[in-house]
Amino acid sequence: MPINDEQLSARKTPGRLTVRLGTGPVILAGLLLVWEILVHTLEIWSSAFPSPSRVLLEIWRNAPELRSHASVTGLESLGGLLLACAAALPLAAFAVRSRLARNILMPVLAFLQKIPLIALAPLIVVWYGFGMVPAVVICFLACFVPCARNFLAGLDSVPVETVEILRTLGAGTSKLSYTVYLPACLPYAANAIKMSIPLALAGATITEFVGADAGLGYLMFNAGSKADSTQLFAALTVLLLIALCAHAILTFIQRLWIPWATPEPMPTNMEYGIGIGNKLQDRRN
Amino acid sequence: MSTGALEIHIENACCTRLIGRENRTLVGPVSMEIKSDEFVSMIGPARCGKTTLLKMIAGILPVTDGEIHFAGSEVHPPCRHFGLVLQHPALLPWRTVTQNIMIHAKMCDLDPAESRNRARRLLAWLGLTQFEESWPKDLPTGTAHSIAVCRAMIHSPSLLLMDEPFRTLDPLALEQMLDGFQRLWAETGRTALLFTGNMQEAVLLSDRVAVMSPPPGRILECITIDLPRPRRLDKKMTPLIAEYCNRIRTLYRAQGILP
Repeated sequence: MPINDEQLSARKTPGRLTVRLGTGPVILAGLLLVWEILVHTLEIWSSAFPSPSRVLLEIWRNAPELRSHASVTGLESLGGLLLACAAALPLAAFAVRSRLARNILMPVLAFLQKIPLIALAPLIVVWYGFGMVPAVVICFLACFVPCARNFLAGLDSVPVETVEILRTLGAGTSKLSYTVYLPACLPYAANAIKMSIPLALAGATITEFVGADAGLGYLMFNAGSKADSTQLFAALTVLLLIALCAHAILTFIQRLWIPWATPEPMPTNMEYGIGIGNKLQDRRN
Repeated sequence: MSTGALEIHIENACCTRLIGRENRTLVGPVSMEIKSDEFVSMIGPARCGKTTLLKMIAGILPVTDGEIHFAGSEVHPPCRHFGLVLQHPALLPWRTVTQNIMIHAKMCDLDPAESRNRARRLLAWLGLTQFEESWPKDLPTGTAHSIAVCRAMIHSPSLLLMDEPFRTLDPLALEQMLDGFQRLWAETGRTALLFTGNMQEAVLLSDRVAVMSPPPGRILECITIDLPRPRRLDKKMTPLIAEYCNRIRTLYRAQGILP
């Protein structure tokens, strides 16, 4: 007997959605429970591994302090990420139009990707001093490569035929930009930001280890020097919560505004300009 | 079909390009005249320069030698008299099928309500009504090209230029599409130039078929298809179409393209 669309969607949606939304929290809750039980049964671990309930209690007790430090780390990460997006988009647009610009940009991206940020953080602190600025710079450096690569892949994803047809009808560069190029970039931009969030948070935290008087990294460094693992775990949990919330918000926006996109478009091997982008560029020339 | 007025005049048109260190001729010299309201197909082997010639006529690629005139003057983009269907359907994935068709209407500053009705009619002619609100990623194989045909015709272009628009359709879908397209062209058609590698498709649709040589593509012969319309692959018409296809095959055998 043939199955109609309603039956098919009824079959697909509830089961899959429940499984998709439910699996993660259930596994996490299970792991936390095992952790809690192990800490209570093997007391030797409690100094290094505080139980989840102790960590939660610490977060509850120090909520105002954690909130102020988290807002500093969050602002630094957001600032670096926005700056990286703002710098990457025009550079990617330039690289799409000019082969020379692409040939310069690709090795620079490959070089930037290979710099270990932990090693660079002290130098940036020496250059920019204590405070938020060095953290923003490190976040910018951490996010710039994935942003530039994804923006470039997004701009390259526009078929040359689309441009040819619309140009025949009289579309200029500005009209093509907002009608074709920017919408084509959207799923790639969402992907870039998703990839950059943990990098930005890590960059901000590392810089706060080295030279800052506020932020979750600063808090963790202090807690580490006092061997206070509970406060360390509390700060780590807050850091994780920030990353998870940002990811969830982005996924929601992606589903709402970019329903047409296939999930998670990933740039292929574009290092040194080898990959899909370059092939499209070849067709353009 | 043809009203006799001259629409396209191609005279010794060539396209050469510097590849490596040598100047290579990609197509030509090609000479041809296409009259108003005529349906002409250019058929040729792969890489003979069909796409290049189409882009030269559309003004996308420069004519390095010779000349191409449309309605008495040289083509310089933008040219809104043309409807283009290129090898890639080039549908915007963030627009539904109707919105994709409407983007051309918007570019040509046409009335939105009127254009929407025309888009619906075009889709109905090709039997694609059920895809009106679909996203391009959800379209069956080959349908995107047919949508591209509708999009190219939304602004009633004087010249429809098509580059292998039905190449990705399976044989049954192709037969349905050719039938729908003939009805559509009989209703709305102006001058059309189809570039294809499919002999049956070319003979079925065209008033004339220009057979192109292997690269660099030149026109070997222009065959006038003297068959009544509408043409269908039925018992009566199929042998007549096959006869024309055999004439094309004979030309290809002489060129060594077919054994």
